[in-house]
Amino acid sequence: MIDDEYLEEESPRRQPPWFLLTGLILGLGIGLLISIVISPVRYTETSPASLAEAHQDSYRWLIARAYQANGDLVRASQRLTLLGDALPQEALAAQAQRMLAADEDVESARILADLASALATAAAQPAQSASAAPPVAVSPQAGQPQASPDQAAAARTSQPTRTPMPTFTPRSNPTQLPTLGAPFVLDNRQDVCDPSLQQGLLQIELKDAQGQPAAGVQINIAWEGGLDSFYTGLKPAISPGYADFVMAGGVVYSLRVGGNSETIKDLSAPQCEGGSYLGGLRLEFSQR
Amino acid sequence: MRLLRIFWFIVAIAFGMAAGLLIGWLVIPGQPAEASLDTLRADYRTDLVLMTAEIYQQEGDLPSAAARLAEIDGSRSGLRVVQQAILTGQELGYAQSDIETLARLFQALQTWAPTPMNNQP
Repeated sequence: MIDDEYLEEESPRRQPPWFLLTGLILGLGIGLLISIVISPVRYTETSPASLAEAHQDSYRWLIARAYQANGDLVRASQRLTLLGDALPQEALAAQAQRMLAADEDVESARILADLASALATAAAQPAQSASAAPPVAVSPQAGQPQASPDQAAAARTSQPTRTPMPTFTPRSNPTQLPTLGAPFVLDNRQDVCDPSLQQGLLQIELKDAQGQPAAGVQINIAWEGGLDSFYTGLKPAISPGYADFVMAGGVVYSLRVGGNSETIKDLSAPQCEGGSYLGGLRLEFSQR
Repeated sequence: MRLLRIFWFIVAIAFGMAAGLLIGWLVIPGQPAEASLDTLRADYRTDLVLMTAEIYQQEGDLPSAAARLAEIDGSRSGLRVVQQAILTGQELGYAQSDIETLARLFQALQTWAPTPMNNQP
């Protein structure tokens, strides 16, 4: 009898506290519902670097298009810095290539390529740019967003009376665009047998009348049953006037640079080292 | 005993809720990379509007400009977006030429799609 009473008293104590677990799960569910569905985190006051990739692409394209409109490379460069790309010209070129690969507007891709090549050209001429644009103490640059609210506040507090803000006077030369209408003439054509390069690589290098790389020039290439076009300047890391195309073995191509240049015919990938691998071609053009 | 159980049940719900809120708001919030153009800080947004105005000044394509403004801030009319950009630009000390560029877009939008402006209470 004593044993029975003992068992009756002890058995409820050994039950796990299910009500606590139930409460925790219920609370967790309510908390997640509130924090994810009803009142999720909303980002405001963000910077361009934190935008979604698609919106960063829109931002970058607007910068390139605005550069095309105003020709202000310094301003475009400052704007691109806000996106936080390690190499802005590479990001521009990559976006242009993505657009071309997606069969989007070729003109839009060209706008991006133009800015990429202009930046690459400016980067290649730092000494000239430095001498052309004397250092100016600018705080903050007119028309440019400030880097952070703190800096903006600091700038405002340090200038109780508004002083005339500098305008974007320092300008580098924009893209060295070729003179419209002037034809490109083939200066050099050579077979390239380099196993480290992609097989069948057709490399094209354009220079304008001043001997500067010519970016944003359309190149049309045709072969039996096919036609393609591409632009110089999409690989500014190599050269703003560089473009390439991969040829297939045994196919003969015709190529024309720009609108009214002569058509270069009978282009084909050479066989190298007794036909062990497919070589490439290098064509160098200059504008006359 | 029963009251004690109810008390601990409520405490457990509170703990669970706190954990759920922490998880939802701090541990797995929406990524900043999901931010769109309309979440940009006012000065960045103003610069975008200025870009739109610069492009409009060159190409003169008002529908395209209006579409870009809608992408920058879809919650307000293009006219309002440019108006706000002019005010912000003046506060930030934009160059007069930039303010004029914005003003030209503003005037064009007024002509293109006149919107009743009820600024007065």
